[in-house]
Amino acid sequence: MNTIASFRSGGIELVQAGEPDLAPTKNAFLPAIAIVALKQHAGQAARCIVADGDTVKEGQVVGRPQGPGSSSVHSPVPGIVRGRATVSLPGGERSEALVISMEGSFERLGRRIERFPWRTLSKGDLLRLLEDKGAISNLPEGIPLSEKIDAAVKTGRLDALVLNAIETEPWLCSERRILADRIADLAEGLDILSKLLSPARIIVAGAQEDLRKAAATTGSLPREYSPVIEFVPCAKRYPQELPNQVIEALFRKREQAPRVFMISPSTTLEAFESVVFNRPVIERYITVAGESVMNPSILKARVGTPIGDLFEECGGFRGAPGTIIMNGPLRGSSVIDLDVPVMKTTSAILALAGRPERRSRYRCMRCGRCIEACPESLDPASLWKAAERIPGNEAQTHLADCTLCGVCAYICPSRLPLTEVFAAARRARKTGASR
Amino acid sequence: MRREAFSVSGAPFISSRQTVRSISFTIVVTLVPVVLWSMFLFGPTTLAVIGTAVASAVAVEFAVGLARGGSTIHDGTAVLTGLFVGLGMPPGVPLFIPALATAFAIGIVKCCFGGLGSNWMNPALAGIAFAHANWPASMTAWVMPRLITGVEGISGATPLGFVRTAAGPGGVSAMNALKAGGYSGSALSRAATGFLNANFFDRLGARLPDGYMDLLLGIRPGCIGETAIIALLAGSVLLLVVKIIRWQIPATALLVFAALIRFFGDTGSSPFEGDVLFAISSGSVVLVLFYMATDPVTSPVSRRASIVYAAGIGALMFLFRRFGLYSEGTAFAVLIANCLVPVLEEVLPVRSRTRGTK
Repeated sequence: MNTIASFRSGGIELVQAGEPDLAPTKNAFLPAIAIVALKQHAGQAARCIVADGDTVKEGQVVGRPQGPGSSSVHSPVPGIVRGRATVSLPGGERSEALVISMEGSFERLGRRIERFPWRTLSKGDLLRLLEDKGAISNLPEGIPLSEKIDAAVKTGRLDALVLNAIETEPWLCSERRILADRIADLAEGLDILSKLLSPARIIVAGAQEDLRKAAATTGSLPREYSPVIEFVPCAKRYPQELPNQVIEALFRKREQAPRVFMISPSTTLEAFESVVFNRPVIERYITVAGESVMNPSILKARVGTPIGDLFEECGGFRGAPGTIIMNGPLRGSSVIDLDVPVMKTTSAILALAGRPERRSRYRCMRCGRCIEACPESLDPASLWKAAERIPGNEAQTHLADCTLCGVCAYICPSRLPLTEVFAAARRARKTGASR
Repeated sequence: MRREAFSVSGAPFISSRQTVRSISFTIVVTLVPVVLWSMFLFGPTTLAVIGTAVASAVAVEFAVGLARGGSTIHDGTAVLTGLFVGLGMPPGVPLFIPALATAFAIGIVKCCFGGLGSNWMNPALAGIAFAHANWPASMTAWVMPRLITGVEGISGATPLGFVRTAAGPGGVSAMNALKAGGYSGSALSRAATGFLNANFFDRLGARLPDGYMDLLLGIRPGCIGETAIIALLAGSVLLLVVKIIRWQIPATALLVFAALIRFFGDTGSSPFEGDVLFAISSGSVVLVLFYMATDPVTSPVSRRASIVYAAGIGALMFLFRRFGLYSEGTAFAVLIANCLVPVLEEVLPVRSRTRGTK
């Protein structure tokens, strides 16, 4: 536990801003009106199976998956379906959403929770549970957990199951908080996953201080309930949390790297709650932070809660915020208004004081900082120049290696919109390929 | 429902503090002590020279911006180029020379090749070279600092020029040649040397000879910006600390330059007797290596190539100094290395997975 693992080259030191860390996790108020997007995952939007005016129960399925990458959607509150709305998803897409006004009785809230004896279930049953309860992996963004596990099992034996609790983007701390608050549940979640995946090792990667606490707690768990877990402290250098960088840190190599299944604490918790509590994914740990937030905190909020409600619960804004971001300031997306609801892939909402800086303010002066900082050893300056010269045919194959971590655009003294251009080029390539 | 619209843009939403503008102005700020010291040494005439150069740079950049549409004044690099040209001029130079040299630097060298980031020669050095080529007499009319003569505008030779003419090819060290030739030192320097010897060097069993303090403090004829070695070094350290310049280029060039001077001798000294401290402190080596050779636009992006580039600068500086017509050729050394950058980048490219995208 003493040596700190990190990735080889590139990356940046970010100043950890804000201290939502200090406040204990609170339950957010339930939303009077929940806006439940039918697309909260990578694939096609779920097919809506309720009609306007229907009464729905807490956790009732309201949308069924359609095709690969699509997942079930559940009602986060008991209530009445009031109609449909269109919400702009972070990232610019739009999705149909159900507007559910809360009323009626809660069947779960406040009741004693029964633990399901899952160890007797078959792998197929476990997978079906994960699928039905709508568990979504946020590494990578929005793939249904059952699909990800299925794909991993099909490709052969796994060397390691990695719980990735690293968060190095400023303000973000939901995953770290889950590791701190719920380590026993996470251990059982890892147990469920290792039954499905049969990995050779189970590794927890995180910040050293987080792991110390977690290791102490897991050490005191009853042996038969907790798998053997290795703890590997990792650097706080951004983007340590990205899969390639975690693998580099854990195994010191990337070529012929061991086969790894990586999962975040929030997804592991979803797996645990789906299986053990038979509970669908209707709640997320949300970090509410940023310079403009009065009392930054970590809230447990229902999916579908408009983010404006959460900001209000944290004391509102300190002055008018300039930018609202869902998830991290380096890889997240800005949202257009405060009606955007919490999604199954949301782990933070941030209110920053400044408007986004105007990009492309100066010309590239070939300082080479982007090349030094790129954790994937790419040459962002050249990729960008290629993208400028031949739009649509940018940088060909190497763009596929870009993880859109944002390091190059962060560091660029000319403020070139590097990541934005790469993301656009990637989208163009994808649609071009599918056509 | 709330209807508050926020501006939407792509990630990332935070950025590092350094911008082209902040970098330019930080460099300008580190040069303020140099400018002030030059005013102290040579009188307010230095401010007139620098002011003319900066004004000319900004005016030309502005005019080009108007002509091409899209002003680039705000990046601060024009101010910096003007300042560099001003610092490369002799103190009493007629003001039309810095004005025209800067106009050439910005108008031809920088903007004709596409502006910031596209020019393949350091504009300021090209402007200085342009002035040397056109008005060699004015560009080598050096004056003595007021501190030595008491009045402004007394002409005098630079230490290096002096050593060149005074000492023939013989086994005399540069400093001895200076002293033998009656090159005047300042009282301030003698006091400072005495103080350092008494309090510092004596304890180490060493002794700083008279005269070097004059060179380090810039109490000698020379161009406006080159003489205040101590102020230049302080500024360079600051730039290194905030990572605006990288140490590899000046360190490599200094090392190569010093080694060559040591082994093959400086002007007027025989091999193996070259005076490295004199070589570094008697000319514009420090100004050029720390402030001009490190220009990101005209130095290689590839770290490996930049080492070769710096070594080349060090070697060329030695060659020009030892055998050249001018007493020093630092500007030409960097300009030639600038021209070789594309070749170096081709031979020693950036080590990245992005290869073959050209």
